[in-house]
Amino acid sequence: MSVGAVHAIQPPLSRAGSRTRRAGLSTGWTCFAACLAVYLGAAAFASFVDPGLLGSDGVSRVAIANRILFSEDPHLGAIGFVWSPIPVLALLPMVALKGVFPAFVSSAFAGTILSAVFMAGSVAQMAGLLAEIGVRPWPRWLLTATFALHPLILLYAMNAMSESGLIFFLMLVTRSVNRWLRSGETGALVATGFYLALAYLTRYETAAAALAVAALVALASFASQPGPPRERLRGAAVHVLIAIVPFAVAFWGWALASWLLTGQLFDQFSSSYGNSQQISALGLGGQLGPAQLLANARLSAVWMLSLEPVLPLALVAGLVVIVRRRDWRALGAPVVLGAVVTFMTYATIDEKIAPAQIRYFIVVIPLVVVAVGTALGRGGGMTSAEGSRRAEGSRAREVPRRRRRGGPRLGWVATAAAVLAMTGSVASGLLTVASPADNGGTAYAVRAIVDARAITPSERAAEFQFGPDRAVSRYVDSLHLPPGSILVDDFIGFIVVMSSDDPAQYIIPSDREFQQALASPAVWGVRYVLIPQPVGLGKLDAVNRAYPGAYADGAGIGQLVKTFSGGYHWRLYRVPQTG
Amino acid sequence: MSPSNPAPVAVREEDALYQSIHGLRLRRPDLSASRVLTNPQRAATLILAAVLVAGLVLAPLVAGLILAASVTVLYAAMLLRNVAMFRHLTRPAVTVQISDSEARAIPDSALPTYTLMVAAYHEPEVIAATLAALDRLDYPRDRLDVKLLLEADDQATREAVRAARPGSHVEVVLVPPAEPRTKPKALNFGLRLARGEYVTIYDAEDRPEPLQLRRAVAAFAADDGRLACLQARLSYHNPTQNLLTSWFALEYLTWFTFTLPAVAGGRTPVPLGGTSMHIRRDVLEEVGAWDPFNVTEDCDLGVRLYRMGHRTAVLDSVTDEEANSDAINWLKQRSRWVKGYAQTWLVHMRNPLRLWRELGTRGFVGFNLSVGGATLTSVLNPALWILTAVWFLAKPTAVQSVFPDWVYYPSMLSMIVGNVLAYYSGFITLDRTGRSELLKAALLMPVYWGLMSFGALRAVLQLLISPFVWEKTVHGLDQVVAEPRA
Repeated sequence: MSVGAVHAIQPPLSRAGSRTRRAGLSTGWTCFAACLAVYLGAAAFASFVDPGLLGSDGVSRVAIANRILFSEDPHLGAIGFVWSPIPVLALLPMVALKGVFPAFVSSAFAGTILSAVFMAGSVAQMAGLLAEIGVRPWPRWLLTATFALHPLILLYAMNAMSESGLIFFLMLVTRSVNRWLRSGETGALVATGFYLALAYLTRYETAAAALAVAALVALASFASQPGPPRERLRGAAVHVLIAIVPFAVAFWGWALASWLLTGQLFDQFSSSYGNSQQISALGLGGQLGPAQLLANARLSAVWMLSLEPVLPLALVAGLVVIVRRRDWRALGAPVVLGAVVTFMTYATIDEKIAPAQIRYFIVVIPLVVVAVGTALGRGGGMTSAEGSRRAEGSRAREVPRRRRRGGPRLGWVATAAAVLAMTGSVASGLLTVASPADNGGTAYAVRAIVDARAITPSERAAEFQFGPDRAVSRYVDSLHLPPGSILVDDFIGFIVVMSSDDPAQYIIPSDREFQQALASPAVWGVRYVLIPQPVGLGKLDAVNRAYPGAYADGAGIGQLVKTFSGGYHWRLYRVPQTG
Repeated sequence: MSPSNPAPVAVREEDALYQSIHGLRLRRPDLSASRVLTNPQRAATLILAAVLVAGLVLAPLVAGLILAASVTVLYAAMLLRNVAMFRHLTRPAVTVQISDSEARAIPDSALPTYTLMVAAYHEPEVIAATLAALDRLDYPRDRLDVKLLLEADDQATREAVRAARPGSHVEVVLVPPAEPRTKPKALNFGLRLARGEYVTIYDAEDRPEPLQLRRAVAAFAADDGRLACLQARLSYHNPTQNLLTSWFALEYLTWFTFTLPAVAGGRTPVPLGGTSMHIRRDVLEEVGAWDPFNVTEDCDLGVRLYRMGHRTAVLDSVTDEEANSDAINWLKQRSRWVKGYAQTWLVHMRNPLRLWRELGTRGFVGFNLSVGGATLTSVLNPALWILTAVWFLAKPTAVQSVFPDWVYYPSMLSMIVGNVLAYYSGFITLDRTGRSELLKAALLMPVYWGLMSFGALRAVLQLLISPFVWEKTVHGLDQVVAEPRA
């Protein structure tokens, strides 16, 4: 069609190709819509019926979006840098509508909707990936269902946490890496780069995936190019750059933004609320002896296996199939997901980055589904649309499609066994999610779904609840204070501030005059100071740090007005007015 | 030229020369760059400058804020355009493709006469190679009308041509010595003698792909008649000579492989490249041919074609050129381009409303961004880079006060995303075209941007310090040429 010299120009999409692509798109959307319907129902349940299912960090993100738009000093810089920005930015449009629908904020419904949307997207991406690695329709839908209905996935599709965003962007990365490995299309590699950047801006641990992608792309590119090593090395460098530059920009851009606004390049570690401080406030993170490391390793293994008992089997089966077919490109998808699992396992064992929680192992679930899909799939499966788009002649990658040994019957037996095993994982996952030892925060709420009487008041108190802090907020609202007249650190007090009808009456750390107000409340016109009990993360509260002992006796700030002890213990002090 | 023309040779030549220089200026003064600024433009510029100065003196913060906001709007618009362009980097390019067999299938008898014009001035060393390259074109000699346009007083090149013994299809055209000694003037002079149904131009060091003319003929034949011009892709044959040629090659690779096809497919005017543009002769004459007063006559012609309702497409055929390997030469060339883009923008924006009507909203915005915006941003870039560095290092309050949040965030975003996209595009081009040998150039691209901005600043200084040089040249020429006619 074209001259030899012009290898860069690709023929336009064939009609047939674009039709297939559209068909693929609409299946994806159907899958997305179906999951979204279920997840949105679950999200509404979590927001309005049983907030015990919510994750406190997720609700806190809604509070951050709320303070960006409605605080005494509304500005984007109030987003903070301890967490990645996308889960908060994505909330802004909904939070902006709180005048129309207050529950978006007051019940964190914006947050639960967002996790439902992200998780529905993850499921649609999973279905697409399984199709692309050649899993036949029936097993593909069954596998997708075991992913979509896995109890931990279901829980994180409704609890406002950012895990759903993490999985969504990881699935996009995984899928585009797989596409690039199969087709060599530059576009797939560019997409990988942008998805990695978005993933990093959603959750920091995806940096591990970026490293894995860089290594994977370098190896695959070097191995597949013709020519002398020097040229292949240059070609590989170009590929790695395309895959990694957007991530690197997101990484340094975010660090720079953090430095501009807080003076710290990596606020997530160094901030007074950052992970390191949280770890030490919780009494963790010291030098660990071998016994403790071993115990942490055991805990990680137990969690992974209780979420997905078939993990080892799935990985071995996937690997055996890859080795037998010599289809090394099929390693791409599991390696990307595996990198994040490996990193979080390391973090859990080491205990320095974050306190151990089962949610850090959620990526095990898509990993197992992808590994099983790799074992069942034909490998190198590609739609005709992709075939026709893959026009870069010599650089397109052909994967021999060998028939699986043992013929179709064994194939069906293997498929049935795999689906059965995955169903077992779903059951095991349910037990895990309902076990307080494994799923501390929300296990009781999960149990309560089945039997509301099974939960005791003290168990209820251990989980997330709006009630007590809302009561504090209502009391403060009843004082009818002018803007900026009550000082509180919303790190602990986020529910108090977000539940208020008038968040502008609070002065919080993201307000640019907070430090001055904290240093001399009376001079700054602060009338009240709200202080949490300095236990656990309460030690990180700005007032407690600035005025040690303030909770107990006011530390000279003012006079005790009221103590709230329904949930987190708060004390309200009145500041004497000067002049 | 008609053989029945009774006028004596000298008079015909004078007339031809006069028409080559002043044809467009006399027929359509509104489209000629012989005047830099029209009176309303001059007034507008002065008023704007006065308001700005007064504002900076009387209310520096307000003026600074308005300035910062305007610059941010400009960059945000450029960013949107660049994002749109970026998307084309990962898609199949929209070019006119004629296969080898289709091109060869046209019987010789069906091929029209084709005029090739090569303007050479002080280029005795390369002219033999040029003739050899043209000889490799797969086209019947009796249908080729090659015009070698030489300056009459350029003895060395004339000698070199004689020594090369060109075939009978090559006609040496001597352009009488007269200012301005520009390529468009020579081209206009040559055009008056052209016999071909189609016209193309090559530079002296060009090596067009042999089937290019046949492909062009086939592409014109396949079109519904609105297609007036085909731009072939330019590429450099010496990309690894030094870092400068690598940068230049990478820039051209992105421009001709992705950006230009995207522009051509996007219902906006197409700034043509200086060589390997193939055009219907009747259209070329109708629109007034080249403007000898515009230093980027190619860009101007592309815009003029579009204004007059003609379509330009990118032909999938490559002409190899030699990249400028000398920094000073490169800088002069770059300054000329920027100056020419500025001239082109000023000419076509003399009556913005009329331009808007002729181009449509999309074309109008596209023209303003790709010709005006591109020029302005390359001038402003260094100032903004410095401002950003100062801001990051010292955070002066003056900067803070003219960049409130609603200006600050969009400007920061445009700055970061714009620069990163441009940088990133380089690597994508390398992969899409399989040219990883240019990796070093792609990695060091920001240095090249610095050079580009230096060239742009130089062009602006030329415009500011000696804007009347052009007008003076016009007057001088007027008298020299008008005298014998009187």
